[in-house]
Formats: sequence, structure tokens, C-alpha cells
Amino acid sequence: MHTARIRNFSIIAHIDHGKSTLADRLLEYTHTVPDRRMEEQVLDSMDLERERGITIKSHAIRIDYNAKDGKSYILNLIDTPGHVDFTYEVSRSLAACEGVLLLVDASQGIEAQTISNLYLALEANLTIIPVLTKIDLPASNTSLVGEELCELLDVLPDELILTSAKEGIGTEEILESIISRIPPPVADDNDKLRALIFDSMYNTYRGVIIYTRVFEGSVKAGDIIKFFTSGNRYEVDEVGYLRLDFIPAKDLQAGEVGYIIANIKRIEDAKVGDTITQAEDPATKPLPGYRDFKPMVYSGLYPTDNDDFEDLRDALSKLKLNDASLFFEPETSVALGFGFRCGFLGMLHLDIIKERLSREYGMNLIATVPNVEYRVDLKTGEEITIDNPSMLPDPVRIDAIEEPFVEAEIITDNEFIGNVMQLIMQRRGEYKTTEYIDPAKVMIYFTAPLSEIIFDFFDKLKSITKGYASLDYKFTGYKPSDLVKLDILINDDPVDALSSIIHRDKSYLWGQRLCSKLRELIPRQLFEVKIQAAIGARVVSKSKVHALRKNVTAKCYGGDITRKRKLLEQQKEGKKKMKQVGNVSLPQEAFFAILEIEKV
Amino acid sequence: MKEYPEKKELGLYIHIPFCERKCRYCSFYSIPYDERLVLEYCDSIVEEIRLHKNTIKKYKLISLYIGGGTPSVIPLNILTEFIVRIKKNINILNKSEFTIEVNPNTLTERKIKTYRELGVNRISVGVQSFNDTELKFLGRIHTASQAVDCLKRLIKSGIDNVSIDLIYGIPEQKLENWANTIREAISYNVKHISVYNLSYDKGTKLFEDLTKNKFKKVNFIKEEFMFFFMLAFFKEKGFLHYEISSLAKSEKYRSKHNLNYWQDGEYLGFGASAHSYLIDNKNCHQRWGNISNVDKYIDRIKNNESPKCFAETLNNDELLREYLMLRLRLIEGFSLREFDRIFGAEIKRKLISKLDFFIDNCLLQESGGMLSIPNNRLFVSNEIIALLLSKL
Repeated sequence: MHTARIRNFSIIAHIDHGKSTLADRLLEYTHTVPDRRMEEQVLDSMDLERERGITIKSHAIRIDYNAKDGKSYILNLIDTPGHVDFTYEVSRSLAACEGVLLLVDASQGIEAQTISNLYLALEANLTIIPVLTKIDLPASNTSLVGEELCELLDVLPDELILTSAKEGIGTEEILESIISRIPPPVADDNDKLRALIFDSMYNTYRGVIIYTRVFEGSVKAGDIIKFFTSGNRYEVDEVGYLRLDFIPAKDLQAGEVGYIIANIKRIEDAKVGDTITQAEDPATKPLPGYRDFKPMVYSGLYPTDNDDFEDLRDALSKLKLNDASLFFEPETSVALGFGFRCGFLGMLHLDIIKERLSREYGMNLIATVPNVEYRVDLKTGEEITIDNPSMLPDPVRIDAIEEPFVEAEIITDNEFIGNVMQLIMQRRGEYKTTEYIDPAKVMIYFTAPLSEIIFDFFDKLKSITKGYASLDYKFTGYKPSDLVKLDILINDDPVDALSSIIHRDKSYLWGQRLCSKLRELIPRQLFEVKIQAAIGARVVSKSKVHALRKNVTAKCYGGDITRKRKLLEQQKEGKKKMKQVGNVSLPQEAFFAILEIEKV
Repeated sequence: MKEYPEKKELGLYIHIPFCERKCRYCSFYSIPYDERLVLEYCDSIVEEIRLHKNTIKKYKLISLYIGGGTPSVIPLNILTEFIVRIKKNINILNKSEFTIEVNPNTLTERKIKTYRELGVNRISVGVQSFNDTELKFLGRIHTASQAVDCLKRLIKSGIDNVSIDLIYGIPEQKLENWANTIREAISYNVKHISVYNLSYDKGTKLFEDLTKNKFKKVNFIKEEFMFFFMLAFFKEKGFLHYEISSLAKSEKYRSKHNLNYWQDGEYLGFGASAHSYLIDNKNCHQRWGNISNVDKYIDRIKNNESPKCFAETLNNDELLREYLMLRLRLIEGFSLREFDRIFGAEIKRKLISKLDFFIDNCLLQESGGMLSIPNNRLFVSNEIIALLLSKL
């Protein structure tokens, strides 16, 4: 097929603006998915994605569409995640497209991630088709949001597509405008092969499956391909395009989106962002790849039972096969034993990995307090980076500690400006400017330390704005701050995994709150548990959990053993989820206690 | 001389789920007394026993326990015929322990005499307390003076092996009242005492009233004190504390029937909601329980259907859990050698490798190859067992 009949596009939107539902409608309308296999969020194959109603991984699918002009077209849809944590995944998908549908929920209006995704699309020089969704909702203000959107994009009102994915309104119009407005890929089959890896997944039987967009040349089974980064060569087993399943094809030509299977056993060998070329007749230059992502949040993951260390390594390696953004390396903790320091894109990412480890791999885990990465200037002139608070050197050796800062923007109703300003100040933020998007809606710009933004800021923001706020931020660089290490001692022994780095001004209050939070979270046990918070040698707060007095089955006769055994099994499972530190069993939640305390 | 392989031991339990009135705290299955139903029920039990006749023959019967409910509500003529019919099917030896549970208010001299004639050699009296206020709170049908009369009658009757149940941790129970109850308990030459901590089981009236805040639970510190005070008192009086909630005047008065439960012995339970445990000839450990409804139980037996409502074959993990759960209820604990024999060297090594923590922290003790929970830790035994299991 000629490339004139191909369109590669993506859907971008703020989280919850109906992206997956729209994708469902497009697939339904074009009969891409057989009716019997159609279900909600059909592209979201992970259980977690369906449960949480979000897209975590990007997905690609090929749609055949018979347009009104009588010709048939191939539309390659690449679905993208909407949460701020996964911006990295979005930019990957966009590099494989010529155009995007920019979705805005008519009941919500323009939100922070609408703007940041728009930046990504403009950066990638893509055609943007604005789409207003959920126009059927009673709460929708279609004309006002439509006006805002036209103004933002400098387009005329008739270029705006109005849809209700739930009602199926506007589906055909979208398909038609994809064909009329998004340019076909510019490509030449005769050039040397250059194909971009925009995603990959691991299949136990077939090895790594590469999701690729061929920019120039073509690739077919039997070809020997080469990766630019590693230089590794592989013989192509199979190529094809993506429906719900993998559909083998003769070849993949310039402009096309599809998959390549080449008996690749390690995901690292097929790095996302890398360029594939023919080994025998290589292109001279790779495609512009992606900037290497940097994890934003670090946390130590430890098996509650040290014997499970290798199982955890195995599980993490398997997850990494399908999630290139996951970073991990072994570390040891005095309190927790052997585990892994892991880097994540954000808190949601961390949450999802934790949940997948427990659900898909049955791991009982302790995750330590998440933290950002710090730079420490030592008096010797040396500079070190630490991603684990317990590694902070003795204060006397430290000249300065620098922490990551972000530029952030909040979109909210102007009635909440006061509340938002106050929150920004409490979080050591520095206000920059405010822009009015319309008379009622404002965009507030500020900078703040990442550590103040990344954990619970958004929840707080939602609660002080009755839910009418959205947030986006990007990392800008490191700046020095007056930071100290807050240690927690359990029965007089410091528990390294509970240490955190915080601003000196907040340390005293946090110490107190952390102690009382821990007292709530640590269940009574066989011994009294003494909890202290300390900065250096100075104890700033203490509390205690009294010893358990009673846990005994009074009656145990009549031969009904089963019920009692099951009760005991439950107790045992509860204990298994806890980590033994000295003679104290700490529940998983205790290691996250600092996230639960009032931060102000 | 021809050698016979020694027969395995078996305990039998018969559940009589009839009561004059349901106690407020009772979570066992029971219904009001109904003579027509009792007759049918007894027929069904005899039939169920008959079905297991051949299995029972392979064993040596060490105990027969008629529990409830309130077995003593059954009129003597019905009970007599019932026992006689049972005895036609199974061979109850004279030295087998044969217990019947009774309520203090229904135990007449004639009853005691008949029980003896039927072979009963151990009587378990549901005294619970010697304080009328407490008895009323518990919803018991009898009074303290009826309990005293009943115990005196038993002394007179010549039944040697009398056991009583006591309950502590009753809301508003004063320490001095508890002290009175345990002092009173040893005035009637009882040979065995079971002491239970009042528990609030879901589905009981007591639990419901607790959730409605009709009263306040006794706090743990007081309960703990009551428990250890009681132990010290009875031990001082020469009682042997052999299981968390059981004391016996001497070794021979330990409850054989209950010991069998705790020592992984086999038993068959008959009647509604009765439980059974058998190790079959393939060495599979089978547990099952009968349906908890008298009418349905009778129907199923009549229709030649199985009265079971659940059955399970224990896997090694479950066996291990039960073993530790039950054995560590015994004050002597269990022998590491026996543990090795049952579970094999690998699990034993694992156990040994985790023991230091427990022994260093006085959660377990080892002496003469026996592993047990130290006395002062008995009140948190479940916590210790659960912790131990979580490490294995």
C-alpha cells in the first residue's frame, strides 16, 4: 500500500478526559475489534489499567477505514498514558506519529496535562486536531471550553470536533479529519532502513517484541537487522502489524507502524528510542531518539523475608522487560537486609510497580519512604549524589546539600487563588506569575523543590480547590537548601530505612508527627516498642507502643480445628507482610508513615 | 507367638445440640429441646455410627465424649436406649474415657446413677461461675447454689472423675469474685478444671450486645491477671497445668479425649456440626465437618446422603500449622525428635534456624528436647505461634 493511504496518530489528553473511551469508539466504528472481543478500555490489557481506569503503557493498533472518498486507509493509533508520571511514555509515542487528537473534556476544560501534552506535540511538529469530548454531560460547558480551546490553538470554531464517545457522536467526523488533516508519512521505500523503536514488550515464548515505526526503507522476515546503540545483530523472525493480536505480514514499509520479532532475549538489547537498520546495508545516522529519562522518585524495595531476595530480583527484571523506565540496583539496609533501590517516574509509577509485584509475583514487600535524588557538596570539594537518605554523610563533612527543583503550573478557578498561594508557600514554593485563561480560570506558575511536590501535593491541591485544579511540572535543576536528616529509632536502634531528608524548619514538627503516626501504625506486639525521632544526636520526639497483653484462643475443643487454623493462618499472613527489625515487627505502612503526616 | 500389630487409637464425639435455653455467649450450634426431634436425631446418629462401624473396628477406642448443647436434657429412657444401640455397633472398653456434659440444674441423683450404669466414668459440669450476677450476665439457666448442690450430689454418687468449666473475664467481674469462684471450685473434690476466657464470637447475643455498647469488655490487663492468678492458685493446690486452659488433679485425670485433639490423634464426630479427623491408609490426613442443622442432618441420613458440609485433605503446610497450633497449647510442648520424624529434616532445620530469635526473646523454651511456650507467655501464645509460622 502506498504511504498516501497511511495515517499515524496518537490521542493525547489530560487524565480522565476520555481517551480510552474514544479509542474504544474508533475501534468499534471501524470493526477493528470483533464485537465479541470488545470491552471497555479494550486497549488497556493490564488488569491494573482497567481497575484504575488509566493507561499505564502505550499501546498501538492498526485500523482499516473505508473513507467517504471511497478509498481505504490504514490508521495506526498509538494510545498514550495521561498521568503526569508517564510523560516520558507520551513523548515516545508521539515520535512515531504525524498527528494527534487533542482531547479536552467539555465538563472539565483545559487542564495542566492538556497543556503539557500539547507542548510535546508541538515540539514533535505534529498536526493537532482539537476534539471536545463528553459534550453530552449536563455539566459540560461546550461553548465556553470550545472558545478557550480555539483561542489556545489559534483555530477556527469549525475546526473543532465535538464528540461524545459514550454516545458515539462525532466518531466518523474524527476518522474523516484524521484523513483530511493529518499528513501521510513522508517516506521512501528505497532508502536505507531506519525504524524507530517506540515501545517493546516481552513475551515468554517469542522474546522481545519490538513496536516500531518505519521511517525509511523496509524490513521483512529473514533480514539481518542491527541496532544503532548496541551494534547487535539479529535475524528477523517475523514482522507484522498490530491488531488486538499480532498479525504477521510480508514486510513493514516506510511509513508503517508494526512489530518485529527477532529472537531477542534481553530487553536491554532493544532499547526504546533506538533506531533499527539493515546490518548489511546500514543507514549512516540514527533517527533522533529520546532524551534518556531520569527517575524522579526513589524507594527501596525489600522482601519481608530475606530469603525472597532472588525472587524479587527476578520479578523486577521481568517487570523491567515491559517497563523500560523502571530502574533498580541491589542495596543493603541495616534494618531491612538485602533489597533494591528502585527509581520511578513518579508516585503513581511506584504504586503500580508495587502493586504488580504483589499481585502478579506474589511478593511480600516493604517499600521505604520515597525520596528524590540529592547532590551533596563535601568539604573536600567532592560532589556526590545520593538516592537514599541513609547514605547522607556526617553533617560535619557536608558543605551544602542541593535538591531538585521544578517549574510547576496549576490551573484552577480564580476563587481558589488564595488557598493555592498558601499551599505553595507552605511547600517552600516560589510564586512566579498568574495568567488568566478566561475570567474564571487561572494558570499559576511557580517553582518549588520536587520533594515538596511529588508526594502528596496534588492530593492537597485537590482538597483545597474542591477538586477543581490540575497540576503539571517539569524538572529544572538542582539548588542548595537547608536540609537535615531525620532519623527514626526503634527501641534505641536507628532504622535506616525510616530516615528521611527534610528542611530544617520543618524537622521538629515532622519528627513529632512521625512519632505519633508510627505509634498508630505499629501494632501492639510481644514487646514494648519505643519510637524516637532524632536529628543527629538530638532526640526531637518520642512515643511508645505498649506490649500486647493477650492473644490466645480460649476454647479449643470439640475437634473443630479448621476454623481456628484459618484464623491463625490469617494472623500468620499478617505477620508475613511485616518486617522484622530487631525484635520488632514493622508493618509495610510504617515505612510510608512520613507520607501520611500533615506536612505543614 | 503370633504378633498383632498394635491398633491405632480413636476418639469418638457425639454432639447433642439441644438446650433448654441458649446461653448469651455460646457460639456452638444448638436448638431448643424437642422430644420428637430428639428421637429422630438419636436414630440418625446411630445410623451414622453404623455407617462407620467397619472403620471404627480397626481402632482402639480411647474415649467417647457426649457433648453439646446440653446432653443432660435428654430424658433417661431415650438416652438409655440410645447408648445401648450405640454399644451394639462399637466396642467401648471399660477403661475408655466416657464423658458426658451436664448442666448443674438438670442433674438429678437418678440421672447420675443411670449414667454410671451406662458406662459413663467422667462427668463434665458447666458450672462457669459461683456468682449469681455473673451467671445471669452469661445467660446461664442455673444458679450458683444449684451448681453447689450438683457437685455435692456427684461426690455422694461415687463418680470419681468430675470436671468443671469456669469462665473469667466477664464484664464487671470483680477480682474478689473470681477469687471466690476458684476457691469454691476446689471445695468439691473435682479432678479436672477447664478455664475459659469469655470470648465474643460473631453471631452470639453477647457479641451483638457488645457492638451495641450495652456493657464494657474487661480490659486485657485485668484478664491477664485473672489468668495468671488462677494458674498460681490451682498449681498451689496441687493441680497440674497441662494445657493452656486445662488443669488436672494428676496426670491420670487429664482429659484423654481432649488430649487426643491436641496430639494429632484421630477422632470421629457424629451428629450435626460434629467434626472428624482420620488418617486414611494412604496416609492422607482427612478432616470433615457435618452440616450444622438438625433437620437437614436427619434428612440426609434418612436419604442415604452424606451429612458432611465440608471435607479437606490437609497438605504438609496445613499439617505443620495445625501441629504447632495444637501442640504449643500443651504446656509440655512438643518433642523436636517427633517433629523431625513427622515433617522431615529440612523443615526441622528451618525450625532450628529460626529458634534463636524465639529463645533469646523468651518466646519459646527448650528443655530436654521439648519445645514449648514459657508459662508467662501463654497469654500471648497465638501471637507467638503466628510469628513462628510466618518464619517457616
